Formats: sequence, C-alpha cells, structure tokens
Amino acid sequence: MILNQNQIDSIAGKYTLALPQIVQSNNLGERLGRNAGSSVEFHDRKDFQDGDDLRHIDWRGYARNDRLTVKLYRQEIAPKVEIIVDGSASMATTDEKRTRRDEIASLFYQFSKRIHANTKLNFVSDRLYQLANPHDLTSYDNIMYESPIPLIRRNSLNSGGGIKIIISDFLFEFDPTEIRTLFGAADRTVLIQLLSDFENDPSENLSKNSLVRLENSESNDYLDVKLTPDNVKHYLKRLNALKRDLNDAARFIRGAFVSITENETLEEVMSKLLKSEIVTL
Amino acid sequence: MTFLNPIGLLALLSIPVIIFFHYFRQQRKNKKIGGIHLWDFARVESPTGANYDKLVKNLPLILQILAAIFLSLLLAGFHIPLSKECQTVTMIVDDSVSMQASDGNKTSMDRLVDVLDNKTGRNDLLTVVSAGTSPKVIVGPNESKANSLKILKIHKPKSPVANFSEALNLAEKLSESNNIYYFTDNPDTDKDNHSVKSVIGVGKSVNNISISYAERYKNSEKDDEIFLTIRSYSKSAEKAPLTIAVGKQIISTDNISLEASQTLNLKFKIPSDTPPIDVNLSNNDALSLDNHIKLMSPAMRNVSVYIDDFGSHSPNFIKAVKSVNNTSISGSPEGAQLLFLKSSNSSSHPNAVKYYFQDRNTSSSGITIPGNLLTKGIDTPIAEKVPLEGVLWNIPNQILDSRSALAADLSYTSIPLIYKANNTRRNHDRRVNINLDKSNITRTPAWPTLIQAIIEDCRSNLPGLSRSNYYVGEDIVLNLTSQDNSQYFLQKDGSSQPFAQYENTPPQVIKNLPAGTYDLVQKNSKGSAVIAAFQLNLFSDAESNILDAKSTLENLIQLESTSGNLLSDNPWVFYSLLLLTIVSIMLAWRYHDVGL
Repeated sequence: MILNQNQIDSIAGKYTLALPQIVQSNNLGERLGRNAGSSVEFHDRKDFQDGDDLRHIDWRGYARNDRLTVKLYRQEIAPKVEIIVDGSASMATTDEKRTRRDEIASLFYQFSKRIHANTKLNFVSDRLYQLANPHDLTSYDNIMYESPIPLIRRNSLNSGGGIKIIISDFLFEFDPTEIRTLFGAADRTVLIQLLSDFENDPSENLSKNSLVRLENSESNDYLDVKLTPDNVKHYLKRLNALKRDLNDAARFIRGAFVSITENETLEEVMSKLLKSEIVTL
Repeated sequence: MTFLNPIGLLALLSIPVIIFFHYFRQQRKNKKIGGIHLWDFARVESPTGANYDKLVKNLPLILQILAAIFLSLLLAGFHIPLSKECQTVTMIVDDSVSMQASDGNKTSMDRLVDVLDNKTGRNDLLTVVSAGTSPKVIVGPNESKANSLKILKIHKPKSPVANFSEALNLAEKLSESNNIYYFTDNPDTDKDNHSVKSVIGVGKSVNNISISYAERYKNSEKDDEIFLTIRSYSKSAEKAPLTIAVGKQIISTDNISLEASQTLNLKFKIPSDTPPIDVNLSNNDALSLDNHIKLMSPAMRNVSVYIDDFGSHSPNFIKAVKSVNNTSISGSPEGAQLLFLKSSNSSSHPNAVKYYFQDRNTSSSGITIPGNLLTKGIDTPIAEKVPLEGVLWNIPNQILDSRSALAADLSYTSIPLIYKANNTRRNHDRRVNINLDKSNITRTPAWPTLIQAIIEDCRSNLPGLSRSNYYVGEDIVLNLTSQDNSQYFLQKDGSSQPFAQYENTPPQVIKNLPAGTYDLVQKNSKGSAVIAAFQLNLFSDAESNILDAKSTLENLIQLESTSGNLLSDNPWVFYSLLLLTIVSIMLAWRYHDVGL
C-alpha cells in the first residue's frame, strides 16, 4: 500500500504533539517550557537556597534590599523525540498493518518535526536502523524476531529523557510492567499498539467454529485452534488484559497508550490520539 | 460374490465427484499473526507429524469415499452368498381336479406336500411343473424348499385333465438330470420312461358322488326343464342331500339314495322366469367341486323343423322331433332351419339344412361313396351313436339284391347312411340313404336318436350356444358371425374386468377355459349386449371317480436328482454393509471439516 503523504501532511498540520508536563532531563532547547529554566527570558525570582546556581544570584537586587535572591529564567526545552518502530515480522502480517505502521511513524515524524524537536526515527529489526526519512521504512524488510526489547536496551534507545514513541503490536511475550523500568527515564512515553483486524477481533473475519491454523509470524510455529465463540471470548479477554497492562505501564511513567487497528481511518486514529492526549489541536 | 444391480456401479461414479469437491473445497484457513501465545489455551490437541497431518487432512475424503463405496455395494446388492450342499429336484404334479379329492383328512395335494417336506433336504431346490390342460411351471425353477412348500400348500389343481406328455416336455427342458418325479393320484406304469425317475402315487381310494350332467332347457314359453344326472362312485350305498336354491332361498330339498356305482337321472320343471338356480349335493364326499352347479336361464338356440308329408311315417317324425328340447315344428319350410323332405327336386330355402329321406335307388343325383362311415362328407358324425342293431336296411342292387333287407350293421360298411350332396348349390343338402318303406328304422330306438342327432348337428351349426352347462375343459362352440367395429369381452364369474377380449371377429370356439360362469358381451356403437352366457361346471367321470386313486408312498426313499450347492443370501453381509454405510456416513458428516 502506498502512503498517502498528502493526507498525512494535512493531518500533521492540524495537530500538535503534546509535550510532557515535567521535564526530567535535557532542559536545553528552543522551545520555552512551562517551568523555570535556563533560557535568557526572565521568568521569576526566588530566595537563594543552598545549591542554587551562584551565577543566577541577583546581585543588583541584593544591593537594593539586602536580600539574596536568585533570578529565575523561563525554562527552555529542546524536545527530543525518539520514534521507535517495531520492525519485527508481526508488524507486517498484513499489507494493511505494515502500511498503517509506516503511516503512524510518518505522522509522528511530522508532528515531531513541526515542533522542531530533535527527532530520531529508529527501525528496530534484526538490528537498529536509524532512518533519516519515514519513507525509508518501506525499504526495510520485517525480520522475524521474538521481541524488540533486547535491541532497544542494547542500543540504549530507552535511556535519557525526551519523548519516546514506540510503535509496535506489543504481541511478543513480555511483561508489560517492564515498560515502566524500560522507559522510566523518558519524559513521556507514548505506546502505539497497532493490530491487524484479526488480532483485534478474530470473530469478525471467520465463521464460527471454523478451524484455523495460526502461524506465528516470528517463527515457524503454528497453532491449530477452533474459533468457537468461547475461544474468541477468551482470547479477547487476554488481549484486553494486555492492553490494560500497557495502558497502566504507560500512565505510570506519565505516558499514554493507544491501540489502533490496520483498517481504521486516519481520522479515527487521530481521534484516539487526541482523546489519549498524545496530540493536541 | 455378485453384483446384481447396475445402480450400484453407477453409484461408484460419485467417488470422482467426491474427490473433485474434496480438492476444490475451501481449504483450511491459515492466519499469520503476532502474539500466538495469546491463543495457546485454544490449541487443538493432536499428535504432531507430517504423516498424521496428511491423514487428518484427508480424513473427510477417506470417510466420504468409504461411505460412497459402502452405499454403492449396498445398492448393487453385493453379497457373499452362503453355500450349502443340496439336491435339485424336478417334478411334475398332476394338476387335475381329482388331486383335490380328500379322504376327510388330507387331499392328494396335501400328501404331496408332506412327501416333499419329509423326503427332500432342507437346502434342496425344487422345480415343479403342473400337468394340467397345458403345462405350467408353478414352482421354481430351482426354488427353495420353504418357498416351494408355501406355494404348493395353497395351490389348487383345477384342470379337467392331466396332460402328462406336454408337462414332461417342459420338465425335461428345466431338469438338469432328466430324473423327473411324477406325482399323481392315479399312478399307472405307462408314465414310466427314460426321463421319469419314478411315478409316485399320492392318491387314496375314496367314495365320491358327483353331478355328472346338468342342463336347463326351454320346455315351453312358461316352463324350463331341468335335467340332472347324479352318479355314485362309491363301493357302497350312499345317501346325499340334494338342495335346489335360488340365491339364498332353498326351493327344494331331497335326500337321495344311491346304490354303489348307480347313475340317477332327475328331471323336473321350473317356471321360465326363475333366476339361475343352484344345485348342491351336500354330502361329505371326496370331491366337493363336482357337488355344485349353477343353472342359468337357457340361452341355447332353438331349432325350427319342417316335416314333409311322409304319409304313415309322419307321426314317427313328429314324435321324434318333439322329444328333442328346444325344438319346434314349423308348418311351412319358410323360416325353418331344418327340413325333412321326401324329394330332392326342390332347391328352394338355400339357408336351411335339408335331409332327403330317399334311398339311392330312387335318387338321380346321389353319389355312392364306398367307406365304413355312416356319414360321408359331413363333419359331424351324426350317426355315430345311433344304435342300428335290429334295423332292417335296404341293400343297393350293386352290392346285394335290392329286395333283401339285412341288419344295418352289415350293410353300412359299404353304403353310408347319410351323405352330403356333391353340389355347391346344395351344400346344405344331406341324403339319408333309407327307403322308409323298406326299413323298420322308424319303429326302432335308433329313430329318435337319429332324429335328435340330426337336430343337434343342425343346432351346433347355428350361431350361439348349443348348451349352457359345459364340462370343464370342453370347447365352447359359438359360430358367431363377424361384425366390424364390435368388441367382444368374455367376463368370468360376474367380474366387470374382461377375462378375454376379442376385436371385430368373435371367437368361433373358445378353448381351455377354467371352471366358472361366463358372459360373452358384444360392445359396439349401439351399446353392449350379452350374446352368450354359459358355465363350465361339470367334471368328467375320470375326475369324479376317485375309487381308482392309490398311493405308492410306502418305502419311498429320499427324493434325489442333481447334487449341487445351494447359494443363499447372507443376511450378515447385508446388515454389515448397512451398518458400515450408516457409520461411515455419520463419521463423514461429523468430520467433514477436519483438516481444513
């Protein structure tokens, strides 16, 4: 499927990537934060306390009223956005899912660029590929591997602050609470779960009680299952538990989680992102 | 192992259809997904392995093909018959009425069934040909013993005669060994020949009384006359209650007594408008079939006779003619069917049968034909039963002196009593070679017999029936003229269904009818009418006489003919196939989606 770049550009122009309320690190930047920082723009004064930067003591004020105060300047944020795209085979189980992955990555890339953030687009496949352009995503094959987390750790994609946007189906075997520690240092972690229609709701595509061989996209394993209403119900229960855990983990680290499917329209996707305060108007 | 039904082979064509649909059916859906671990709870447990997987994938196909094969075999009547040793026995059974004669306990037919039951093996195969008027295979060929006995137990011999030779021809064609048994109630040695292994008597000498003759004649406009002849075939004096009834109403009963082998003639009158009457001899004798007759209103033809003036001989003519039933005397030759004339000069009345009482000495056109028959050129031997003993005869002068008169039995060797004129114009003319003035024939018992024979011969050539009660097996002569666009139906025993049907040409003679009451109905554009009604209800003396019947069952050993193997149905094969078919269809239905 070909990316609809015009539509992406159009949508990207309407929304803005929401910035974190609390910045834990990397407070230098071109954008003015809501807190006091190290920009040249005066923000406030406060009484000197131990540990305050001596360079910011307001000597003139001390001369005027014999009170040792410290000048506070408006915080200047230099947003750092790290987009991590899961390049495992499960993200390309269908053409639609792969296209939607590229669209979402491209969309967030655009959002990031619009706020002049230091944007990195990482494609985590058999190794880490740092891409200069989201269009390059189409050039890379999805590789079978179990989980992108080891590669994320190995390449320290999780370290440091900034905004981490992870686009994955999160359908690999892992403990969702691991997200807390993995991206705990980030200022904001956005988890975008992308699922195929079947993964999202198997009962929609197949007639009841039909047998189906589920092939693991990450290996040559398969599983023969019968799509009984009970089995579908049980699966959805487990999937929803995963979504809930991911949401909890994301919120725990001041992040956000949203689950989208391959055939939702971009408007529907944006509606979800807006609702989850991942983007703002 | 046999296939009996090609439908089964056609059913096999379903197999390629099943294979076609199997390989073009919707294949199992494969889905590539992430997060297969979320489904591990729903795993369908099955042994792994490529062979097993292939087996499971093809299981529906295997089950469907098995079901189709079993169903085909079932439809084809496939069976593996059971084989048992057996004898193949061919026999002829006397199918005459006397085989129904009972000794009060069993009939000859019952004894025959007992013999077959006791003297044949359980697995033996029987072929039974009935020797009746015409031969018929009544059992088999090669029927099982059980079925054979079942058929023979309900079989009632009804033929007036047992035609053994024709039955033997048929039996020889059916028999593999030419060892044929002949079962009869009256065994005699002349049935022994190279084909007949044994003549077996199953009869028993028993007393019987029968109505051997019965007829209802039209005596006058008002009265009918009934003639009955009752015969005793008993070794001792018998009494038999005779009942005459109209429908259910008994109009007369009489307890008649008969000496051994006595013949009793009864004659009585009833009003002409009396409906058919039933005559019953209700004694408990051997054969009940010959104890009952039904006498319908007479439908036979009347003969009108004209008698020329024979002078002093005329009263003898009139008396003899009047003694014949259904005969009237006409005052003129016009309209009469039979003319007794003095002279052959007249050639008028061409359709009447004319008898000229004129010896050849005075005849100019008579032809003397040497021979030993009393009639010449006439199909019916009119004088055959005329007792000519004591009759004085004029002897033609060519042979003997004309003045001599000898007994007729000496003279008729060369001179016929009656001969036919050799002239097509006078085809109906007959000459009676008697000089009445020189013969005493009119005063002898031969005279009424001769006149009656002439009248009955004339009557038999008239269209219609000459009697209304016939012997079973007797030919029914009708002499009907052909009428276009008419259909003729013979209806039996009051049934509206035709027993026989004839187009355009009515039958001249109807042969081999079974006992019963018959109506011959003519249907044409004008409607339908009964043109003849008659009954076959009399049996011959040979059938009614059971005194000569005998049994040769003593020391009878096992009946044997050709050894062989009996192949019988094997119900286990059928039921097994049925079970396999049902089970395979159920399994094919249950697992139709396995391996998808």
